[in-house]
Amino acid sequence: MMYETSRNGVAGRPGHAREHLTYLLMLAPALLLLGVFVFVPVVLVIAGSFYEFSLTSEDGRFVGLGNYLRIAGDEIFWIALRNNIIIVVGSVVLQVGMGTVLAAILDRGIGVGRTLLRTIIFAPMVISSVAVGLVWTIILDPNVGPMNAAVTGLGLTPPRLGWLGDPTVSIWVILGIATWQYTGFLMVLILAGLQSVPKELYQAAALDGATGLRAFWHITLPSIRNVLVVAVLITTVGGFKIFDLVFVTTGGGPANATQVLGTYIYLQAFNIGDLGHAHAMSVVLLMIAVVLGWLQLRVSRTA
Amino acid sequence: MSGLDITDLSKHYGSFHAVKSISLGVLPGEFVVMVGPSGCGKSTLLRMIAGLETVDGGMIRVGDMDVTHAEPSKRGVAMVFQNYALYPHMTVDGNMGFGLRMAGASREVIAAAVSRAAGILRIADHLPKLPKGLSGGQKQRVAIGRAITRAPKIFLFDEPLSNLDAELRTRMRVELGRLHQDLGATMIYVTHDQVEAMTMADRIVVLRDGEIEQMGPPLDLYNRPANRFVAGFLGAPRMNIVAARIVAAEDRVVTVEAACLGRIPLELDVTEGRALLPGEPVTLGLRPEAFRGGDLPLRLIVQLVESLGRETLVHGHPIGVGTALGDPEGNGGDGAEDALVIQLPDQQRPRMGDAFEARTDRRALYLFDADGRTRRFARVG
Amino acid sequence: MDTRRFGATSLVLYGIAGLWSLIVLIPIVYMLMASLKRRNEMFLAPLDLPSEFNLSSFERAWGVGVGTFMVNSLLVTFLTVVVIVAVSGMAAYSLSRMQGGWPRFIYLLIVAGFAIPLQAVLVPVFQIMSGAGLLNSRLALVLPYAAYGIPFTVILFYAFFLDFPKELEEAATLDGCSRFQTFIRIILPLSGPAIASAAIFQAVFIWNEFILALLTLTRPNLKTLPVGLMELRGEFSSDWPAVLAGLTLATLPLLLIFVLAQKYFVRSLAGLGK
Repeated sequence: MMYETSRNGVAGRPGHAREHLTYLLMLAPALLLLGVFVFVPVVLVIAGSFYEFSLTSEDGRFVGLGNYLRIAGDEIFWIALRNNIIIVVGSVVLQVGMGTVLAAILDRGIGVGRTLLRTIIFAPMVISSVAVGLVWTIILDPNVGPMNAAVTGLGLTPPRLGWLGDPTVSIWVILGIATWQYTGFLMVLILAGLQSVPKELYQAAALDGATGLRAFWHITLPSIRNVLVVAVLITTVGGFKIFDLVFVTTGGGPANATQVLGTYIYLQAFNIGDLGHAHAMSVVLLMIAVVLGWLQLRVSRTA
Repeated sequence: MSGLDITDLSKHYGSFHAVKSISLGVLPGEFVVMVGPSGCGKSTLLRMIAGLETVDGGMIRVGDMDVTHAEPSKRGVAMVFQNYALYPHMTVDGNMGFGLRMAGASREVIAAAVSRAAGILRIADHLPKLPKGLSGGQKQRVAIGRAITRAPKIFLFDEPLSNLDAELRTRMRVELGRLHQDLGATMIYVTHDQVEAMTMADRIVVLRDGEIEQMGPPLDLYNRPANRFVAGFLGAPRMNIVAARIVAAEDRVVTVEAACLGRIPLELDVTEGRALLPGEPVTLGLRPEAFRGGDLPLRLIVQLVESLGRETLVHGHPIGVGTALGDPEGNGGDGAEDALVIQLPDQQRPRMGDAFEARTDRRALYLFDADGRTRRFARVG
Repeated sequence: MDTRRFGATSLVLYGIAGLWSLIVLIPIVYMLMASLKRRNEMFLAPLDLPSEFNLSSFERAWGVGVGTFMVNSLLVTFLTVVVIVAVSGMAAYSLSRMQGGWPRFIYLLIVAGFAIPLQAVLVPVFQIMSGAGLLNSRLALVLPYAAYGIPFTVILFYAFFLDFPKELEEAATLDGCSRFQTFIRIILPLSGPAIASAAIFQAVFIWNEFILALLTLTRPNLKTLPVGLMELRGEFSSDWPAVLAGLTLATLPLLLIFVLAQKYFVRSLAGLGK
């Protein structure tokens, strides 16, 4: 047997210096990928937001806060932001609300068929937003879609310009489609929280006379407060990041009525080529995401 | 077969001094048990020997090799962990052979070493199984087998039996003793269980606060504990400690007075160091089994009786002792305790609340000075 | 409890859950049914079942290359998940075992990456890819997808590794494993549940990712499913059954896998709430 002796006085276990190198090497790929594709782009976006330039030209012109003044005066930017907020608030109310109700039902309300119901309700989560958007586009199509036929069959009048073509309803329709897709996810998220509530708590509450809705109100909700907060934050971030659904169903139209930050940044950057404008809006989106992410970190246990 | 030499070993965790300049020599083939309360540094010491903790000062030698800063796997030691630490994704076979495999041994060498170890521990039938299919005792056997397979110079055991139930623990204790005899290997064993220490050790090392309190053969430590801590640590139920006071002192004889025992002249065994002066508070020690008759009556109010069949343990409060000593906590200062335990060698049923008289002998008394150092040992036999 | 009232409550609860299930199912069932229809049936009888079992629309959709898209998606997804698991596993292990303050700082930095949405940095990511000459290469998807999958996976693995019994690693050290060998031979084989969770979570995201794939892959033989589906719509401007057939082909495999392994999907995605 061979003996290795070293005279290092470093803290930790023997062979610590070599281990330290191993650790650094094991960290390197992750830091490299994150650096190149996450942190450097963030810096570039922030820096770029102070310049005016296009996708094709290399050298930009420094304009200070000019791009921010421009988006402040851009009506469509405000429409986009308003639409994001509609999606966010609507999603929190509908998806987290419905998700909580469904989760509570599946957790304690019913016995038979839980797994089946959970599987069905969660299923849209594994379908791509593009596919979801396309299917709904066809369903809502004024000519071939079954929705108009069904609504007419019930004696109601569908929107004259089509569900996705009518600027007054289209953003709400998109909210509906998002709710169809994501409610199951929130249900599962909240269900996981519910299932970690100790059963003894309910038994104790039952002895104290709290059952059914009262138990839900006094025991369940307080116990899953953190999960609910995380659910609201995830939904909020998702609402600000929404892109695929809008891009596929309306492309931001009609007449920018369903434009959201994601699609409008894409439009400015890749169709119009006004990168300064796009960057300034990206910074707004970034700030929203970072603040929400920070909040999430604070309530979640991963901190 | 190699011995182990530890010189001035020390270890800090931040400002906490976990091991304070410990020196210890272990002879080849010796079974040394390190005991002490949790936090005494015994596990840290063992892990330093294994190489799982760095050394802040001092030296560790295995045989004549300085391994103070060597890689754990290059020290010629094998360790058996408290929770077995078997690799759950490997079979028993794979677990036992893993060390040799990592050392680049050939398939035949590994197979031979594994089957030898499996034979010694009678686990050959379990070789193809995964650890999760084994009972606690079998897992511990495999863990020991894994150590044997590596043919180490020194075996290290970190509380290996504490996860087993009482019956299995007794059986494994016997088996480990036998294994030590068969292998003749050097073994260092850490435990907080004084029974394991008493039954298995060639030599016990009692540690406290990162320092060695005393070391020696089990019965030497039991009969002649260097201080009240060692006296209290070895033996169950613990030695009774009674508060007393020096009332007269001559050259080698002092007279002590204890509330429950009256005045007793005692010959000192240890006279070096500070002289004992009249008025000094001291403590007397009495093993629970020391109440088999004699010249000293002791009356107590029975508080609890534990009938164990073969013996009876009577817990009681000595009459004449208590808050009179001015100690509201009731432990009479200096580590003396309010309640005494008396072990009777037969079945008796004193009633709770009744007075009970036991007799002991002054020959059975230990005397500890105010620093806790033993000044007189009980006379044995 | 009064059994009759219990029965009524139960009925209402089943009603709510059942109704939502129906809302979820109808579009999916419609997609399956309508893809079997003839083109003119779509206009004439939008609510009716297909008049005959007719797979011709599937043939037309397949002809546009749904098969190729699927293979591309599979390749990209598989490669990325492998990269994410390997890279995040190593990083999380190092961070969970290193002492001191700055590994903690690095960990928080990585966690911070979780908050950055790809949408907000699309332009520079595109420029970096374009500058590196990686447009129209699978790496243009694999590398950024991996980067955006790392933070959550590191968080997941980090928590898992912190709970890992340290004696196993110490036993491995005594058996002669280096840190990296310990990671490969002991840690990874015992991280199955965490790896499965991470892999499923990332796979669902990558399989469905659209915007970056749309930007970086313009060559038809490289396109992934979501981008390919948009292609399909362009190709068949009024051939709705073919579009729906393509959608069916694209969604059914993952849906089936989900139904079979739904326990793992649910566990994996619910992990986000913790």
